[in-house]
Amino acid sequence: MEIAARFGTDGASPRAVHDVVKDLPIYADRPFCLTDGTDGFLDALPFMTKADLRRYFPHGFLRPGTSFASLIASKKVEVVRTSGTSSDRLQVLWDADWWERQEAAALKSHAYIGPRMTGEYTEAVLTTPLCSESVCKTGPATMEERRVDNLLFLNTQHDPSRWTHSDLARMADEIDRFRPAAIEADPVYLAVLARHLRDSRRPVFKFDWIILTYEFVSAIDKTAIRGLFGCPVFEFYGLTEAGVFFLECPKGRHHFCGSDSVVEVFRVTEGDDGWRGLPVNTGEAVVTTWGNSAAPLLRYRTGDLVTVGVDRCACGAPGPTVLSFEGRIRDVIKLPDGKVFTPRLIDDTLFGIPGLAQYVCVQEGPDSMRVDYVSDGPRDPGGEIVSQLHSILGTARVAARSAPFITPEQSGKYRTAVPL
Amino acid sequence: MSIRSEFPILNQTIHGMPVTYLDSASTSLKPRCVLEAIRKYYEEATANVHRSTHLFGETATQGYEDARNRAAHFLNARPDEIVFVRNTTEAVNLVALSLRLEKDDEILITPLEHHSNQLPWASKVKVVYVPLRPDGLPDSSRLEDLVTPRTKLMGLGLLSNVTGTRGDVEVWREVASKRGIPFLLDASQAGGHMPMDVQKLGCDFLAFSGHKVCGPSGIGVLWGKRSWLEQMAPPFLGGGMVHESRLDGYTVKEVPWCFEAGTPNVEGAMGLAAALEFLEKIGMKNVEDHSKELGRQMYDGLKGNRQLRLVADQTSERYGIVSFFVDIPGLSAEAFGRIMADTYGILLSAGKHCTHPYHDLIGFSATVRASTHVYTTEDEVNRFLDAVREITG
Ligand SMILES: Cc1ncc(COP(=O)(O)O)c(C=O)c1O
Ligand SMILES: [Zn+2]
Repeated sequence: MEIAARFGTDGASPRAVHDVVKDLPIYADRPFCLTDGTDGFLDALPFMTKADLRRYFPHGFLRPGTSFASLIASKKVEVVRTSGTSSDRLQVLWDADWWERQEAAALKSHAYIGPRMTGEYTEAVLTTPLCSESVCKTGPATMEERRVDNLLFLNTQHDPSRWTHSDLARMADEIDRFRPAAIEADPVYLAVLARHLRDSRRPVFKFDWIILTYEFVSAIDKTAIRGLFGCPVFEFYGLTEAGVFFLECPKGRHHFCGSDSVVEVFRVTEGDDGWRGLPVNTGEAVVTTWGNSAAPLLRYRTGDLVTVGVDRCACGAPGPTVLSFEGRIRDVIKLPDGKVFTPRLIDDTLFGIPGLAQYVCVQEGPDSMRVDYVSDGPRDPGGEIVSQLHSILGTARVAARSAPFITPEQSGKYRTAVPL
Repeated sequence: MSIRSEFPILNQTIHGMPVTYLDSASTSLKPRCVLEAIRKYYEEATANVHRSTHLFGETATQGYEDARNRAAHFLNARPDEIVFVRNTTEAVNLVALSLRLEKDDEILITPLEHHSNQLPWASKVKVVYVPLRPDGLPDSSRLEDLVTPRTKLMGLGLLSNVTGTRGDVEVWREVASKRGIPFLLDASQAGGHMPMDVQKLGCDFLAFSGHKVCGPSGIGVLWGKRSWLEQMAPPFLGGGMVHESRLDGYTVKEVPWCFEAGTPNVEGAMGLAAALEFLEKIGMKNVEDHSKELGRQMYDGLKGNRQLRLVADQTSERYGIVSFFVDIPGLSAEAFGRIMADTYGILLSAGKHCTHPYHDLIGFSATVRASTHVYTTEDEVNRFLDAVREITG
């Protein structure tokens, strides 16, 4: 497989990586090459997948003489679960404070956010309340109960389509009272809140900036959020099991922001899985991390597709960038002729259709597609959805169906494309 | 007959591992004969019961009433004392709604009861709880003192879904019959673990759910002594349960049909009958021996583990259900359950198992529960014990 780009190699030391992983059973059989620099070191490593993490948890992460119980009881390490349904989720280990440390480092390095992260900086969080059973609250919980350190967790409901007017008003009230510097949000959730604020004509709280994270960011949501809140909006890409990796700059490109990690992007070349039609600079992000000593990862396949740019970003920061996050490999729609469509490609196609708030594109047969969509306003976008999709899908059949709402997966996340 | 080969769902793998299903106390798996019985109703004779005059209708009615006979046989009871309901919860509610209770009446139960045998009472009358002994089990020796002239029913779980221990039926029965108080058994868990002979048990009501005895969901049984059923006022009215209805009144059918308003779960009853026949073929004595053996195996394998605290840990006399608190700070019962599922393919329950008051009393915020059934093997229990050792070791 060909590499489209590598990020973070400047800060990598093969020796440091090796020292963190060497006595972990999960890596007992890895070939390490410590003599040929970072590139040589990485080249020698085989890939690992979610299935490996699952199979080796927890015994693969126990150093000789350590038991799982004593490790957890020591409080130096905690068990965290990724979101996702049980076929998809993972249990992972975090060094205490590791997540906060590398996340803060990433934000500090940002040209706009960094200088604004002062001592009393506060943040509202809007995502599924299921993200972490120890922190986020489901069900009735007071604002005080949902305050953790400098954060306020706004959501108490699993599914934003069940938010009532009073739920939305409560969240807006709480934002007004809490006056956070920023909000970190799942884009779908924040877009629902944004449309509510717009329709109810209430004054909109002015955040210094907005971070969109947790899942694929539809341009429809991002534009709605930017339009309503009128502050800079940045996408932030990370994985619970691996750390944060990319943060969007004011010029709209995504710069590497990881600590103690390397991201490699492997091109999905023509012929792999019989795929056709992906740009040469699109590939799967594969991460190697050694900052979280409890569970370092070697060439871990994220299952996420990104498109990289090698030219210098207009913001002046050096190095390659991610131009766009394409979505998950498992959400890529493939037609019988091998031509593939990433969630981003579909999103770009549907973006800008007047009256379209949300959609999910479901492949119902080898060459038939159904789009369920939620309208925004009186205009029915159904016809235009069909014609726009036809323009990229060729002869495939497309039907569009208006829906009162779109339900998230059990994890609280949404899929915008669901292949056969 | 190889019992396991009758359960198609067990052929699956989870993340490449065989499925080790130790969550039968939540619901049981279904053998092929049950699937077949339901399929037959849909493919060969779909019809309403007690109404239609055609062939399908006759076949369906016959199958439905045969199911009642089968359930009666299973409980060693009379068929006209079998009321089909949705589940145990509905059965207990049905009794609570029909007994003409008043606000200051009393019901005597244990704090170990499932919500199903607690909330239907607590919402209507004063509930008196038998205290717990230091070992965490109800103290039946206190029963006599707690009965008052206002005690209108005594309700007991035949098999606890948390501790895997059998209720003190003999003591309860004696007190109840001496004082002439109806005695209800919540037998929701029992059918997969022990024979249920209402004559021997000496109760007045017994409730169980089809889905816990390898049958379908949405069908369950309330057995009641005819003399009690006849005193009860049917709380649900409508089609199927009336004998005659005029503009100015109605008369209801006789017991048990007067309690089955509306179209019943016909295919569910047929599936339940197939399940009961399946268990009877295995032999309920064998079912019981098997459950006790696995219960003993789990108890022995877990009790010395210093990272776990078994619920009712002094009782080795138990069936194939065991719950424990994970005494590792930072590792919740839910996280423990997820690791067992995702890393080992072992499916358990984690939480309070619909016994919140009991968990509060014993001071555990949540426990992990492993529960067996007729298809559970010793090997599976060993796999579970090995995995527990690996996590807690
Ligand atoms: C002891 C006990 N009683 C009652 C019930 C309720 O059964 P159902 O949900 O089928 O009504 C259960 C189910 O878990 C149980 O274990
Ligand atoms: Zn830039």
